[in-house]
Amino acid sequence: MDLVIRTENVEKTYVSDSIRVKAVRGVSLTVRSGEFTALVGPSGSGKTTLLNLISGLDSPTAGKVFLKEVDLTQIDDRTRSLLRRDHIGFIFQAYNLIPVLTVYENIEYVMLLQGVDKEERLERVKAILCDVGLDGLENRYPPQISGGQQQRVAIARAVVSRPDLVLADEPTANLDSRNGKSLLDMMHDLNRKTGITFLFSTHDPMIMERANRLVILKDGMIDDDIVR
Amino acid sequence: MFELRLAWRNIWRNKKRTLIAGTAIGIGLAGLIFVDGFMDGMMLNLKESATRTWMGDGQIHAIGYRETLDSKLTIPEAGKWKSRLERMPQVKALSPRIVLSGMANSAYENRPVSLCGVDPQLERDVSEIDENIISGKYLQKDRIGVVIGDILAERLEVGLGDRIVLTVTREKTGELIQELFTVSGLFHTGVREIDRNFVIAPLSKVQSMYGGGEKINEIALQLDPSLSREEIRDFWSSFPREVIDAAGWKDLLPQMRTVMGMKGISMAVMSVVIFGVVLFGIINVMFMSLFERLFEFGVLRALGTTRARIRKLVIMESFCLGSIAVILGSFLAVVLLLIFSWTGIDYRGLDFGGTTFARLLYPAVRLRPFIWYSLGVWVVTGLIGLYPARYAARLNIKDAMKKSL
Repeated sequence: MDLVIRTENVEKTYVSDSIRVKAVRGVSLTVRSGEFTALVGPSGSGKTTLLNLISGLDSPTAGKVFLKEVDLTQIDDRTRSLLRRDHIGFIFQAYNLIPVLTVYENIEYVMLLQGVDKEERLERVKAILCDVGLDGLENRYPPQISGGQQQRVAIARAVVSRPDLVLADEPTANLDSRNGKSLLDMMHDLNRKTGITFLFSTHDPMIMERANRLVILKDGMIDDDIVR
Repeated sequence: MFELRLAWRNIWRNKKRTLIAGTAIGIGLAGLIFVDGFMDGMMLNLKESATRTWMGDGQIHAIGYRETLDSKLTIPEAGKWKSRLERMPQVKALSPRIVLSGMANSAYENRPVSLCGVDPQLERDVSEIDENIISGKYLQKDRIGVVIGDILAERLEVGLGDRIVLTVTREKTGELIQELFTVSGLFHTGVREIDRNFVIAPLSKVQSMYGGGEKINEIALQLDPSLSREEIRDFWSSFPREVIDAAGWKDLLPQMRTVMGMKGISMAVMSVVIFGVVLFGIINVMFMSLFERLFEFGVLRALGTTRARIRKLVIMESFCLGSIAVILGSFLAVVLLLIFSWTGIDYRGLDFGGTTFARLLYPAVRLRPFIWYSLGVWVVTGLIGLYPARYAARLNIKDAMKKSL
């Protein structure tokens, strides 16, 4: 299977008030297409920092990060933005929908950036709304729907542009267990049906159970890598 | 288009703030448009007061007359000039005059006056003396009646039907000559200089007193009002300067030219002040709005929005705010202009720039200031938007989103 992510001895050091904190220490990781992988570990183990580095939202202090074999440390900001737009979908813990855009507009946003034509956008948004069970809510604004529904919209937004990779940071942390399970099922289905790679940062035992690979981080390093 | 829709919705997130900022900028814009209309109206009023009351759009004199006001400097070959002017299509009306310095004596008082001999019929088409008669009748040709200003009448303590003696110097002999006239009408132009000093009599009568035959020292002109500035300029420059002194009202009243020049300076200063307010108002609103949404900008960037698109979005928000201000400001300006165009502003009797306001002042209602000042607000808001736009585009995505990824 194709490599989606490859990191080589990635390090990230933060300096705050002359104190150097190594958040990630020499992590080398590969994620292949179609994986449903969870990065797990205690708070402060470097999960979120690693996701930031993988997505190009942050730059490593040392080492290299490759997304679809493109070295993120060697390209400019605009190219990184376009790579994120075309290859990565994001699911955030706090949903992070744009409140002034309707459900429909939130989902179509990335496709607008990609220049997908209007008819195709309509078709894809309708299809994904059916898949995530939000049919009929397309004209609502985020504050008008529940937290679980907002996270479904976020999932729809993340996958509708058909990225290679979906990065999900604690996607179920703000949801009750029933909603969490339902969303996890949905993401698992999408993974199986579309082959989109999912990489989670999580504490949630449900996600850990369903993941087909667990990368355990401890003190900024990979402590274990369990493939099931 | 999508950015515009998003920008429009973003600025309405906080309706109160947007309306307050839009109204504040709009009031500034309305002020600019109104003052511009007021100044234009004032200039037009001063020009009309100066030209319609007595002076005309311009005058023809002998060389040197304007500098010395020597009544002996009469227009050479006045008949020929009159005929030539009558044939010129730019000339709507003309009035030959003889203006002499003299004394007016009543039974009680005596005053220095300007005795103006005019053709009563021709003068009607050039000045508004006939329209400003407040008592009695306008001049009748070949009658010995005179019309005088109401202030002069008060000072001479005369009224309608009273007699006054006018004394002038004859041209050739230099001897003083006196004639008895009956006050047949009183006028009030609102221009103190005229109401206080002018005695207007039939041209032939004054010429006969002066003893110079049909000599005149002034031809006042009304030009075709449809003439453009360039056509008017060309008209006045068509006269041979070495032979005759032909001058438009701007040259006859050089102080008015200065006053008009002040309009440009005043508006420039006001524009700087108002646009300064616009500048800081919009920067303040845009940054308040931006800091409330740092997280969202982080999300947009994370989703793949380029810095250029973020800049575009913020500039459009600024532009939308400017548009609201333009709509509110233009509406307010229309209301103000309509009110004062209806009521007028009463500055009558006030001297300004060497001229007296003789009529109610109405602000000029023109499309041009609406277009130019609105464009100014749009340009300024667009340019101002660059600063917060740059800030938003350069946000560190991770820091902006530090609650999550």
